[in-house]
Amino acid sequence: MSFRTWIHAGVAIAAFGLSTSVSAQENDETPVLLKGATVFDGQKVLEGTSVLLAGGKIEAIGKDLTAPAGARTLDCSGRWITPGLVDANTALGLPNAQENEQSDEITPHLRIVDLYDVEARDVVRARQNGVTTAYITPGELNVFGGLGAVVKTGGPEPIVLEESGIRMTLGNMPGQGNKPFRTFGKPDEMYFRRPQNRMGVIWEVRKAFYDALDARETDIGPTQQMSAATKTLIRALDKELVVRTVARGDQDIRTAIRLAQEFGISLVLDEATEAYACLDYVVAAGFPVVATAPSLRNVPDNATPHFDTVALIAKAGVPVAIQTGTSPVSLPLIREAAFAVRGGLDRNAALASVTSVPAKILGIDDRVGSLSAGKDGDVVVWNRHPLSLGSRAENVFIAGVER
Amino acid sequence: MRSPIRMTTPGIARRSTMLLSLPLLAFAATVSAQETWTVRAAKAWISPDRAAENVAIEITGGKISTVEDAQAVDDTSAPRLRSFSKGVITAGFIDVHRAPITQDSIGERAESFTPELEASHAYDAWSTRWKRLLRRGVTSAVIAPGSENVAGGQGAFVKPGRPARSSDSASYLKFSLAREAISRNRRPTSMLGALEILRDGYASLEGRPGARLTPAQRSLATTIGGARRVAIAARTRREILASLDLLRTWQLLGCLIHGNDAADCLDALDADKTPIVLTPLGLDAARKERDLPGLLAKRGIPFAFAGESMDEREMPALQTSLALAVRDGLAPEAALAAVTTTPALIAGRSEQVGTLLIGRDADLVVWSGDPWDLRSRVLLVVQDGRIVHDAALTHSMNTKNEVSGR
Repeated sequence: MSFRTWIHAGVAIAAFGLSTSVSAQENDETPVLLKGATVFDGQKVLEGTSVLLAGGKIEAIGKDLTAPAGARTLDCSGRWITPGLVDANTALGLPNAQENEQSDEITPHLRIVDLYDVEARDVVRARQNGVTTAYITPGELNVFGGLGAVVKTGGPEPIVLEESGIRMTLGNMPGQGNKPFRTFGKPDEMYFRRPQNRMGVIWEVRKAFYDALDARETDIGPTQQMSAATKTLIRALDKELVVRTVARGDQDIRTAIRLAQEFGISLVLDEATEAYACLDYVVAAGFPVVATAPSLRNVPDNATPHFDTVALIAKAGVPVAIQTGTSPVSLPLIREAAFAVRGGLDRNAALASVTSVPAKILGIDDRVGSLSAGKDGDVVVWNRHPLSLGSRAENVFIAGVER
Repeated sequence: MRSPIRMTTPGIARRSTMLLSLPLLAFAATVSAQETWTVRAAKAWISPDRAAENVAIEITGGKISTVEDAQAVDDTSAPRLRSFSKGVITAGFIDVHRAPITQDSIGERAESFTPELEASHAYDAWSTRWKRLLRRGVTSAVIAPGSENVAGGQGAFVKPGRPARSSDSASYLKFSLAREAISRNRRPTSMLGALEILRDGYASLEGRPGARLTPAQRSLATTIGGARRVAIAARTRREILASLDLLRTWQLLGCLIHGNDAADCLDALDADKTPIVLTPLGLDAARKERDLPGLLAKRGIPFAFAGESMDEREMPALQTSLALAVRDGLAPEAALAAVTTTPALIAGRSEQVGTLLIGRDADLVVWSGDPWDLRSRVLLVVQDGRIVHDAALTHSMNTKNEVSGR
């Protein structure tokens, strides 16, 4: 076998090993009938509806479902059922909220999925709060932080997408750790480097993309190998990978959109705190938005959060998802959605912004985010309307099994 | 024949050893590597799963030549015989992950990726301080680079006090994903970066069979297909899972060093039974540390204890580990394996050391009782057929230059 062949075999074995190792908790394949609940299917509310889970998938959804032989039936009258929540941007299961390799600014090729631990405490907590799928992201301390991943918070196959989007941070955050000469930095130190501020960050972004364009256009020959970072950025230029940009201030949002148009990349506007201040640009650009957690009052980059941001973006017709993000003080995802309702968002739109919309943004809407036959058996049973203050996720199913 | 070195009380012992030491000294001095001699004891652990009563082990040319029932040994026909009527013989202990004498840890800290370095270059066979290790029953060791580099270098399998050439001492290649490999002052600053460095190293070999490789690449290439083991320092669950993932991805033969949180990922470890080198159990070990050997043994995951202390004021670390592990319910056989056969396996020297089978190196220790009993003392240590420590002699003479290293 050639070296390459067994490397690939190794990767396959690794993926298999990971999936078998992390959750051998349950192999219960018993079908489950969730009977007579008020169901939010990702778009609309259906009264007196039942959901049948079998074989790890949603078998059927409808008014008069009967339990197959040997099935477990759960009486859900008075209960609410939603798809498992999808958190569009988190640091769940990672060692640090800001996980970055800081020896370099441009590290788009580093894979955050290598650090995901499905048994970490914050993952368990998110699952208990109804989150079954999450996008995990590298930190904001590098201009290009790395590759995000889509994961589940439990179940036999916790990794959904190993490489999902490239983290690109605008604003002041990437400059935070770098030390300029006058504030104790030494020229021989690793952190004595660009960028220091917005201007430098934008310069780094454009240089990296121009280098990638150069490498793509020029035949650099077999002796000179392209760096992994360049290869990854070329995938973004080819629209194979979406760029997840952090842009909180309205200036940074406009910059992100301008850069995306300049290089022809597809963008998701993460952490668009001040999107209300440049709504026309956002609407015209048509990029989806992952809004900052609506409960947060203090966010970096001197951005000013408004309660009604999510409502305004949604009303303008832009797909908007709600995230908990990397902030240590954000609330459980369902509570953040409730804050958006307080800011004027329609209830169903709020539920969609933590289920079907993020699933669509992450490109996994064929599997999660809505309830229909054939989708993954990720379902949450709530004791009352999920957005009410006293709501609790009573039963959380991932791949058809209660976790 | 009664053993000439049986002692009753310390006072008498001291006086009697003074008197007895002359013939003993003559014996020790005359046993050369080429000669045949026999050591006899009440019990011997031939291997961790095989113990025998009344055993005589014949040593020829530094190897074990015969293992037989002591009754069959005719005293008069055995000109060179050391007999211990209450002694217990085990194979010499193997300290499979330790620092050389002069430094706590060797690691070239200026860079984090130094797989080309060889620990054998930091090994000083001529130091008299190796006798502290020998005196505790350790007859083989792997001198390992420290955990502060992502790829620290190549370990060296040595017989402490005996010279070793880098060519024939090669042992595992040391990697580290542990916290100390992550530094704020040089690459990598994160585990993401550490994983990337190793992945980059292996990926750079792809499609370059026999091409001109750098020394670092040559070193990595020796591990491909399991030809040489890699040892990865990993403490937390995440570090352990990432290490196992790395081993599978590149199809490496591996082992883990430290593995403090191994109890939290037994399922993952169970899958391919990757051996773990544990830090010795101290008397102050937490409940979690003391439970780990038993949990690993129950799953059949091989483990070793390594890191014998050279400080004579401290308890012998390996013997204490055995005692505490057995006290907490580990089978004595499993405990013995953790300092003999498992480290031999990890060092890649199972055919040479770790058991008392015929043809193996004559590395053995005579204890006054079972080694996992803290009351047991080391009576005699034999390395490559030579007596390197003799408890009967140490009271009566200055043993500064006792180790016959060459």
